[in-house]
Amino acid sequence: MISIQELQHSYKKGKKTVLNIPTLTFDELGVTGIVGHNGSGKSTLLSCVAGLTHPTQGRVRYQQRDTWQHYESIKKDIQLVADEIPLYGSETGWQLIRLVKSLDSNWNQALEDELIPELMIPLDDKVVKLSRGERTKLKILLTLCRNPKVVLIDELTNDLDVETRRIVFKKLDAYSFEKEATILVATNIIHDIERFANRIVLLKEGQILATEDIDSLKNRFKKISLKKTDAYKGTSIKHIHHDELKWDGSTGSMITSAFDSQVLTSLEQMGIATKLENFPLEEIITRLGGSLK
Amino acid sequence: MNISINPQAPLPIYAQLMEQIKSLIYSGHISTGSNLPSVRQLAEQLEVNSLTIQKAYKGLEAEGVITIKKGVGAFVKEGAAQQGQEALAVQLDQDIQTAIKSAKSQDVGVDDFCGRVKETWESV
Repeated sequence: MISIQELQHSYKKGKKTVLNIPTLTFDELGVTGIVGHNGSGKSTLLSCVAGLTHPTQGRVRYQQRDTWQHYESIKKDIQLVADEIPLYGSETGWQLIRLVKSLDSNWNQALEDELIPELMIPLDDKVVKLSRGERTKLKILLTLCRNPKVVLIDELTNDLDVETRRIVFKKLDAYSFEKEATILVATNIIHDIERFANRIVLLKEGQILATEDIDSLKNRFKKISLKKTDAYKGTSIKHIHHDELKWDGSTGSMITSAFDSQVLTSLEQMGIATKLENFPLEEIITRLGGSLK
Repeated sequence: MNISINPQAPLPIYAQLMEQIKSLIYSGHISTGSNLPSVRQLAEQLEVNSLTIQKAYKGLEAEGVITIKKGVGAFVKEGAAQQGQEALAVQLDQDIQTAIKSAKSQDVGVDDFCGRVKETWESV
């Protein structure tokens, strides 16, 4: 659905490249977490995907169309929810909904009727009086009811209370699942990602460190505790693929990022007893070279 | 359905779900023919994403534990509980064999071994 090719961006000519992505695609339903330290390029990436930033080089295509060049025709399908997007402060929530609805022939009335009681936003109040969490929920309502195929959320989840984040993520998940929509969320809150995302794109200084399903990451990163048995003949185990190995000839441990059950069989055949341990996602991100600060 | 998952646990959530649903079926807490909650219901209840629930259901279907009827729901398969209990019995036999092999390699006799089993039994 979305395909990125040779994308590079710097905010001024000759200045530092803030984004450098040779290739990246998004075509699955579900939530993908865009993860990385502050300044790693998360916001720039989302803005390029939405067609709001003209990349210095390369392009982002949505259904074969360049999102920057064809912004007017793709904008009904791709919705970016960002912190800076202003809500008209002098209007009440109801007035704002009516305004946005009147401008959009694609409006999903059934979803509006479903979301309004669930999100519990005080819509009689002026938008400017709403709390941050309430404004966020209003933005999500206004975004999803326009029936987008791609939803981009930029840091909306930062310093929001747990309850609001939970509701927003649940609505995004339900929407994605029912409409087969692609949802990208820039966030560093690992607890939300573990529950609500299927895949992560890990960025560092504008480059991709990893783009992978979370389950697949958890399945391939393993720690194996090792202990020799009487059958062990002293064979070296260095040739078995590993990232880190501690082995004094009788006990130790092996860390691998490419786990395969064959490894356990090989070790056991050599007379070494094994015990398999897993890593939490946060530690996997660190091992991939990522940082969330 | 009484299930709890821990997203911070290293085991993927779909695998945690599969294990717990199977043990509910094997122990008779979910009976044959009864239908499981819908993907959306379970996602809402457990506060995890729907694709993870779907993955767990598909995994259980592949293992022959449940049947998924499109647009209708997921049902516990006939004989799934019995098959499961048999599989668990086989697993137990294998675990016992492993422990015995380890005992033999350390020259631990059968009486000593059984004594240790009894001692440990109470503390587990």
